[in-house]
Amino acid sequence: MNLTREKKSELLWATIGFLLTAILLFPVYLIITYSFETLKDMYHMPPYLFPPQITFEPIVQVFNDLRPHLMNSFINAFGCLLITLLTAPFAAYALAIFELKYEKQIIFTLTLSQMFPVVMLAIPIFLMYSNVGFANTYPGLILANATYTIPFCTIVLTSYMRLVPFELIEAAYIDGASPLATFFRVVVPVAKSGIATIAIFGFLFPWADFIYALVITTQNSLQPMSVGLYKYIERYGLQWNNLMAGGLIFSLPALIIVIFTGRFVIGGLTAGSVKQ
Amino acid sequence: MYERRRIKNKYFSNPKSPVVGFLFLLPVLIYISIYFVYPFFYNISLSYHDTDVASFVSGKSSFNGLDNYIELFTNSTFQRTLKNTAIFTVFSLVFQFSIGFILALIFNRDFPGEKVLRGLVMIPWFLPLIVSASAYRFFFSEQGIVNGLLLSLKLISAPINWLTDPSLVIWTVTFINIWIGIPFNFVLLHTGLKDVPKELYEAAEVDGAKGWQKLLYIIIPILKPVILTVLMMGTVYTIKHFDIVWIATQGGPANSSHLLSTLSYKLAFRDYEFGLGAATANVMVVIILFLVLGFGLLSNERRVNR
Repeated sequence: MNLTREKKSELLWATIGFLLTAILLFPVYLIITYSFETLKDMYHMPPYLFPPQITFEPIVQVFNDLRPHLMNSFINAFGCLLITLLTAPFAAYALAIFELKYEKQIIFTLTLSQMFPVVMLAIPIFLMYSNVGFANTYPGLILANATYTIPFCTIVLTSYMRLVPFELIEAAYIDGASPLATFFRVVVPVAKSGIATIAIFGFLFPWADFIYALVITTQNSLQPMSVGLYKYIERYGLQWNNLMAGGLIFSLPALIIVIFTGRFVIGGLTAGSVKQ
Repeated sequence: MYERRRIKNKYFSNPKSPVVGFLFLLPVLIYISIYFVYPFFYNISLSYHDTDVASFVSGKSSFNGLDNYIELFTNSTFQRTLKNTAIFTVFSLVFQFSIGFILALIFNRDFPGEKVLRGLVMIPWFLPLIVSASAYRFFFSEQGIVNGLLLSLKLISAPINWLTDPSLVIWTVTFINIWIGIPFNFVLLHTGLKDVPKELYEAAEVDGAKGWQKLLYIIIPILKPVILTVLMMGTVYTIKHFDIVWIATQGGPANSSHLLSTLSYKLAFRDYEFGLGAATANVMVVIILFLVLGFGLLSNERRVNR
């Protein structure tokens, strides 16, 4: 008797949970189905909830149209990931373990940089770039995108680095290891889940960037997918199925990463916010 | 041998040496100086100058004191934008937070498939904003699915101009933002809920506490630090939001849906009034600083009370 009541309540909550998730994900379902529909079916009245026929034309066409932009997105995201991994782990180690002056002020500045509006940085960065000819270059875009990743990843990783047992570091020093060797042989292996976490954000943030790309890359051949899609709406205003297909392609890398590494992402988010 | 090395280099023998630590930190310090500290002050200086394209190229933009700020605050578009930003922020937060909280409470129970569903709930948050915002731009267009469904259910007799009616558009973009923000609120609150000891619920149940009593007297007090963090981050991120509005409406029609961020972008990069754009961005900075200060006081008060 007791058991069946428990089973019943389990079933009830599972149904509620399922329904709410379905409502929340309905727009995502639409993006996916529209990507495989003809324009005619898309505008059919009353709207189809299940596409009457499936076509791969939108996916193929948008992929051909926007492939260079997709490549630019990869260059931007991997470039940003690289520069983040080359800087943030060292800084996080320094902030977590060493006795630094102004440590609090530095962490505060890093946190503040995440809170200020991107457009506040985009205006002066654009003007700085115009002066030195850095606009419309990959490094210019990548370094601007690092404003999302370097401070955030440093803050997140600092909280992971605090968990590295100091005895391990001390032991390495006693064995005569240099600071760099200690960092790579002792600290990195212990903090590897933290480093994996920041690597995910180091890719995802620049991948989704829109505003820096809009400001810094005015030249079509350098624009990443976000701006490519944006211009696609303006140029082919009515090709909404192609646009949905383009969005689907653009979302795939992010979705794949999140599906396989969701645990790290949530861990990083919590670590990043608890520190605030 | 190790002894000798230690004497030779006192910096390398102390695992907490400030000098070595500073060297490790240096690349990030240099980066943050060039890409945050300098632009921050440059932006302040811009906002006190009459900087447009001509004066920027010639390098002779004239100092005009508070003129940019006065021009903004007396401008009706800016006033409307302030109001829009307030609507967008308050309503986004209220709904994102309460829906996220309800979801977190539901998913806090063990039921079959809970883990998979929980992962799926996160998806809206990981779609790049260009994807969700442009999809919604179609959903809410005249011939989009929202009108399509409402018309075929006979709930309306003519299509509603969700994104082209100046008095409606800010509410439409707020709705889109609520949808995008739910997962973020959900996941942080859910993680917080997991840390509430199960024994506390059971003890309360023995004492005969009802569901809402448990929520009010047990869950919320324990979750207070998490709730404050979620609300603070949510407020800050919502106030400076740019993408949805710029992608869905570009601030239109007739500047009726601007947020501070999109107005700042438009002034700087469409009208080339860099001084005015910078001033608008600084207004946001001041608001954000006040909010952070306020939340900081709130959470300090909590610590004292304990």
